[in-house]
Amino acid sequence: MPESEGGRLVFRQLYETLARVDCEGQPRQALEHSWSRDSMGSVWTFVVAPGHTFADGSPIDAAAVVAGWEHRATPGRTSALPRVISVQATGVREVRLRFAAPEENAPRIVSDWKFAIMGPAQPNGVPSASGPFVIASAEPASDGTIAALTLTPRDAGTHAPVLKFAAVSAGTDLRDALDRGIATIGLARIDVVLSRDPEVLAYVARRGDYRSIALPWDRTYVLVAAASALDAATPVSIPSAAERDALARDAVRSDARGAEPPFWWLQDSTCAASPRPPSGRVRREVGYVAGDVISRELAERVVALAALPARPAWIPNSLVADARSPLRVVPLPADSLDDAIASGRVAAAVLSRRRQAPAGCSAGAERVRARDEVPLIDSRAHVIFRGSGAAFSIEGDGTIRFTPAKP
Amino acid sequence: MTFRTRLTLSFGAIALIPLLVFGYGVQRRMTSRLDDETRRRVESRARSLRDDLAASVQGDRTRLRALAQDLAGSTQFRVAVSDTRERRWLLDWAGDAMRAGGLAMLQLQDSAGRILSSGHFRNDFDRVDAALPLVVAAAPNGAALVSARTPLGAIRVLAVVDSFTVGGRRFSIVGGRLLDSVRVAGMARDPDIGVALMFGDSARAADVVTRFPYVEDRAPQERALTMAYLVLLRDPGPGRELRRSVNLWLLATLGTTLAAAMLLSTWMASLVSAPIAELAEKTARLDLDRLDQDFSTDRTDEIGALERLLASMTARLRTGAARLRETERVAATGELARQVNHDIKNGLAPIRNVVRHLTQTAEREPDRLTAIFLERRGTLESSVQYLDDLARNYARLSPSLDRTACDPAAVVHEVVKAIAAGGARVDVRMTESLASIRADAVVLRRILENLVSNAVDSLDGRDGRVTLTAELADQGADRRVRFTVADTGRGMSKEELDRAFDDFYTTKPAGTGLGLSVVRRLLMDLGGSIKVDTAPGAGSTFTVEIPAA
Repeated sequence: MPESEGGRLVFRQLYETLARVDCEGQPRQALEHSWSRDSMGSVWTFVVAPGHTFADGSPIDAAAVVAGWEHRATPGRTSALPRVISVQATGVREVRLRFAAPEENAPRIVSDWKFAIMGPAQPNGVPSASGPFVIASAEPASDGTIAALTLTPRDAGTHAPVLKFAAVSAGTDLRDALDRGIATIGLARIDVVLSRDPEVLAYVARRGDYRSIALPWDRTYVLVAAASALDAATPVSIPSAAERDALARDAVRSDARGAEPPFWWLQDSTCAASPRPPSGRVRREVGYVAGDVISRELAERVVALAALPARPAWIPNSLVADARSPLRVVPLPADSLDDAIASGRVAAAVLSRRRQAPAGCSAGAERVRARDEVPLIDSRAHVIFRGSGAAFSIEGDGTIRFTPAKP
Repeated sequence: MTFRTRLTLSFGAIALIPLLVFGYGVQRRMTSRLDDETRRRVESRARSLRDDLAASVQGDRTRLRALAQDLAGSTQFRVAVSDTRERRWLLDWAGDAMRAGGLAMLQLQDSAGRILSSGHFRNDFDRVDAALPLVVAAAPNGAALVSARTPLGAIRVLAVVDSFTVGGRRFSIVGGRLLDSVRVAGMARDPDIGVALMFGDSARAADVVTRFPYVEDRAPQERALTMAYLVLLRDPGPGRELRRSVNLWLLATLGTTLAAAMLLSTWMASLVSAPIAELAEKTARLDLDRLDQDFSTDRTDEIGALERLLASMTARLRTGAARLRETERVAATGELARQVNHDIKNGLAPIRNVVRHLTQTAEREPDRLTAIFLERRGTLESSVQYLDDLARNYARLSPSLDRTACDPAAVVHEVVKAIAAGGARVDVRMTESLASIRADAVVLRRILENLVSNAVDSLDGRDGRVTLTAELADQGADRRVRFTVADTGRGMSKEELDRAFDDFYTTKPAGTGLGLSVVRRLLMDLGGSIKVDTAPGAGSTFTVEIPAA
């Protein structure tokens, strides 16, 4: 399953979901033909449209959908799907989902990539694609990751361009890539770029051959503090709208806004994990995600605000200024931040959460201490594209979906 | 102290003392030169550092002045400071300007001290620190050491300040370069002179280059104005190493010299002390009986002279010893003759007295001649026997004394009887059971007869009393027989007493001076003792003790 933003972008091209949500948040039909619900909203039935097949030619029916979901199930869990208690193929094309609680908008939930429909595993270990593209080749990087990935349309009769995805390492100036392509993977020209860098957007705005479109607000940056006895007894204080707006306006240089509710982690009962007191002595450091400029800038602002005599109420007590041990920021890998907080390696950390959470907190990784997270700002990426490049649509989760046809 | 030790000490003193003086002088001079050189280098380095810092501060002032002028004329700045919604440019301004100007700190503050833009800590805006520009502006050299906050911790910056006015509002720009431990350490171009930052009193003992007010990274109300000192640290290592090396060489030289002195003195001592030791050994073997040591030599030095002197002295000793032996032989012969004469006189005196008595009786009372003869016959016989024994003793020259047990009472009676034959009266007091003594009876008689005769003679013919006492002096296991001869004669002075036992000393006109001398020698042979109590006019008492058998 994709963990990074780039990975989700590729994933979106390979695998369909039963439903989709457009950039305005409206459900759109995907593989399903129709859906229905019971009176409570706890049981939803989706009818798979006929005629769809996986890339290996096998049909996409209710049994295949359920088998793909159950294949990803964690042993001992009733379902691999967030919020879902059980799934069942009740007919050739009918898939029934029973939710833990009544849901008003199940199509929106099943549009999440976590509900992607995957076919049987191929010899290379990759599940057979249900989307319009398949993986043609992958170029490994020196560190074992994938440097570039080439996707081709499943329908060989179309004239859709081949998609070649390249991950740009941190520190690379995307403006150079727009000017000269990426020579290391043989790309002389870039057609589409996803970026949150304001300098890149400003550069594109001054060029006539590229345009940019803001994608939906997809990330919310939050402050997570190490729990203390005082924190445990005090409800989490959330910055006011004005404070959040000020943070978005002054503290970060990316396209941002003050975080806007709803904050799903504060409302979802499945996110109510008890804060874990640090196991060691809490160090006077605020962590940020290494390579994430927004995370670093927000962490720096938190450090600055904590030193103010009239510090904001939402700054945790553990960050109060101490002249003998001044607060400082420290970069940490994204996947170690939660552990760093729990162990006291850092007093707090600024990290980003997905703004929309149809997957809920039961997914494990996003469950950790979500209840105590202080929302700061929302961020969104921009898609920068050449006018004569590939056709795409913007999905509600902030990704884009290429169309296997020439624009 | 041996001759070799004296020589070693002498040579050592001759060599070591000048060396010590030389070493002390070298070390003192070297220390002085090193100190002077170090002081000169420190002063030179301090001047250079002050010039560098002054140039750096002046350069930063120039940059801040240019930045202030740019901001004062910038429309974008006017908009940003009047509308916070437009201040994103201003928030980024300090960072851009700081990096472009090669500064480590740049901070724009309004008249209230509110941070409008921070280059080293972009998101530290809106914090109020009104004191910082004032402290920096008031610094003696126009620069202060500032502990500036950054997201990664505090950095130390040598900061200057500039200000400008826009729309009637005053703004301050504080900025400067790093003056942290790395940069400070990099200022030390002399490997022996380090550079460091010190704070407060810790810099008192160091060579201060310059000083700055120090603005700590604390809330303004918690700050205490302290001073930071840029100091030079002298590395004592090289000088100490040089001094140590010189000391080691000096010690090595002293040791070598001392060893050479010892070797030389040993050699010299062997040249002198060996002949002297040989001479001493020969001299130690010299004795009156062994004067045959050979002191002949070919040496022409002082030792040769000494050997020749000893040879001459030995020759004279040989001559003297020969003369002495001759003299002793003559003296011994004379003494023997006098002793024989004395003893014979003592033996003849009773006989003469008996003969005179018999003659007088024959002339005056012929009818009693036979009775008198019979009465005095014992005296004659004992005197004859005495003379006979005396003759046998002298015949043996050095007879071994007869140590058979002798009855002292019988000897006492014989002595008293012999003395009484001369007309003298001797009182005898004797215990009934005297112990025998291990002595020749003749020897005991000679002792007692000499003492009693002397006592009678001390009366000088006047009325007086001579008492002979014999008793047992029992002192435990040491049993002795004590004989006391006391008289009421003229007694002796101390001088007379001191010489009384000398040979040939006498106060009597016809005395031989051998009586008491013979008594002393005979008592010594018997293991006995003699004591004298006397005073002029008070008589004398001779007490003789002889071990019992």
